[in-house]
Amino acid sequence: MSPQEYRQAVHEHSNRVHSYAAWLLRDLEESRDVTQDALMKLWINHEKVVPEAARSWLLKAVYRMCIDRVRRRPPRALGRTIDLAALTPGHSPIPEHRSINEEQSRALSEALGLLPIRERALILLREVQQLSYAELSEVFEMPLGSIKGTLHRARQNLREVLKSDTRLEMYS
Amino acid sequence: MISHAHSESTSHDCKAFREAIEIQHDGEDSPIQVEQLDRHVLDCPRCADFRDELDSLRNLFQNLPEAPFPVEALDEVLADSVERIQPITPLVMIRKMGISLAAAAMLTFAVVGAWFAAQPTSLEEQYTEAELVRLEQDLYAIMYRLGDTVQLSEKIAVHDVLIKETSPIIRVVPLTAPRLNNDTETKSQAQNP
Repeated sequence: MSPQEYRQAVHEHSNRVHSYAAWLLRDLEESRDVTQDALMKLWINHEKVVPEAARSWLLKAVYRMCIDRVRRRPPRALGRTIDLAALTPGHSPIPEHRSINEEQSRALSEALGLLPIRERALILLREVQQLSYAELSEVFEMPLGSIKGTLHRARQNLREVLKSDTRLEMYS
Repeated sequence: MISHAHSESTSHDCKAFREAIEIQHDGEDSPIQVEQLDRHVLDCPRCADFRDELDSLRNLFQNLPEAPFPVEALDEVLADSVERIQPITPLVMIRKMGISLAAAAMLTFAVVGAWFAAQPTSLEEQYTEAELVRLEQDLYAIMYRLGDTVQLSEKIAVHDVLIKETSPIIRVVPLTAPRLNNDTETKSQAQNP
């Protein structure tokens, strides 16, 4: 990747990578640090990374750094919540889906917080970043079968939590 | 073969269908054909619910608020790399080479200077001819007393100690050889060769 391609990749992926880190860590300051570190690491390795692989490379780096940070956290900090007011609303490509309100986002946020970090990371990459199974397999360094199994388990756990949440009528 | 009718489907079949529904939901190649899945979902309310739940979950995620990377953080990242991104023009190359050359010259000067400083100064530079003659005579006298069994370096050290009291020359003699520990030991050694 040339320096110009690196700059392009930074502009193209920094928001998505930061969002991913924010939802994984549930802390905007930490996610900013992690994203900056990942982008700098990409610069250091830019000659080894092809532009097409930049996004996967960044997401993988962020995932590893987030895992390290979460493991170092004291137990009382594990249940932290993200400040939704500091975020920008999502924009679904389907108009009727844009009616999902802040309460529902808060419910999903809380439910995500209950998942183990690997399941949380996997489902975020699949549903939000829309990575393919092959890309997920590369990011998590897991075989495709394990990716499918973990993703299925993550969805099952999430659905069970959301079903019991009264803020989400669609699951009641 | 998987049955199309729900009444004929077993729970095992539903498990296989749901796996296929999930794979299809993720946009991957499903092991069961899409038409076959659709027919099953029409007949199976539980699998239909499963598919609806997956769709609802996706809608929730699609509307999950985003956390844009702060502009100032983006600027910091780009600023850190912008200098390296600049093409190396001849002027930049000369400037960089100049700094390197200056650093190399300073290092060489420091190393060579330290080497020169570490060299012992010759006696001729320190003493007058008369003083050297006197020193040589003193040394011969001491060596004669001590005999050949004592190393020359020790003889010089002994010489320094013995004549310190009487000869003004010895006060400026640089001792390149190790000194003896104390005067008593020196004197006894000198007196009992």
